[in-house]
Amino acid sequence: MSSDAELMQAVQQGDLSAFEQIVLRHQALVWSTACRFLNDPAEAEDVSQEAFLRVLDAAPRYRPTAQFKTYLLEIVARLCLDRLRKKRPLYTDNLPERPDDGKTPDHALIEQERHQQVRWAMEELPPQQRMALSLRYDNDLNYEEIADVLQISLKAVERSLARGRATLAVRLGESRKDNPNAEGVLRP
Amino acid sequence: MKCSTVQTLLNCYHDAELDSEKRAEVEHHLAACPMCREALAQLEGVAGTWVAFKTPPMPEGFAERVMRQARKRATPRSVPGWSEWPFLRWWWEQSFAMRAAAAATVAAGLAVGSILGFSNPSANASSHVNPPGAVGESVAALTGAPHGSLEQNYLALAFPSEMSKHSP
Repeated sequence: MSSDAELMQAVQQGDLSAFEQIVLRHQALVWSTACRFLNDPAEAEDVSQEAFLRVLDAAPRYRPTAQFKTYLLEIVARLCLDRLRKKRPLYTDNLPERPDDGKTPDHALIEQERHQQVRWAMEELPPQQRMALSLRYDNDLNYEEIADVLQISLKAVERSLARGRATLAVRLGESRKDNPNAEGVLRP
Repeated sequence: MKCSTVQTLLNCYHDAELDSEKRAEVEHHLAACPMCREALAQLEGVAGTWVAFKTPPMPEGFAERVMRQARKRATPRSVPGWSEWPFLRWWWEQSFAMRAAAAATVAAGLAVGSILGFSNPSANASSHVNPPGAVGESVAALTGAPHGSLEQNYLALAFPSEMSKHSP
């Protein structure tokens, strides 16, 4: 099986079948990152498609100085962050109403509410923290790779991950109310 | 190692980013500190929640749609139907630089021609009464025509002032 660098070399020569192999190999990675970040399948598909087309357009200038996956995720991250900047802010008025606490929801409703809570919590994270967590958890990148993708320092990666996790822990109620030091423990 | 120090390292520990020496020190502290173990459990809980939150499946036909766009970008620009004319086909086949150079050459030629035409001293506002020099010369050439001939009568009607100059 050809490596990504070899495939990109072929793409530079105009070989579209090599480009198709690149797409098939990395489409799941690109899709999950975009989808996780944007939380909108239509936008995620748009961004994912654009990311691959940008790889094709930039093929003549591509140099394998870093892992192709990191290069590709850098493009995806930039497109996602740009898309989020242009997107209309998520107003709380648009969110579905949370079930009344007095009701007794069944298991499906509990799951649905939990899913929505997680989604809200993720969407409320600052973009850089959200992308850093996605690159870490969804793509298993190390700090150095995350720093390359996001074009930030290692310290900034560490801070983004720590703050993102602390925010999620509070929003999702992961910290126990009976532990008075819970928030302090997670403060970076 | 103090709790405050361990807590600043917990995220790196959780992400396996510590060197072996620091990792060992943190693990030694965690073994004896329930509060820091609780903090680590919190990080692991966040990780578990994130990973458990599934993204929708990849849309079907995604790769085909990407390749369709890729082929469009790789195909040379199609020539419009009206440029089946040879000149227009040639025009479309030239690079932008060539077309710009050709357009500039034509424009320069037109500009020079206009300047030369306007700067000709025999070209004046009353040309409809006094014909331009070239026409006057032609009139002179024709005044040798016999008196009463068709040529003479035509010239008398068309260029009366010129004819009066050349009349015997």
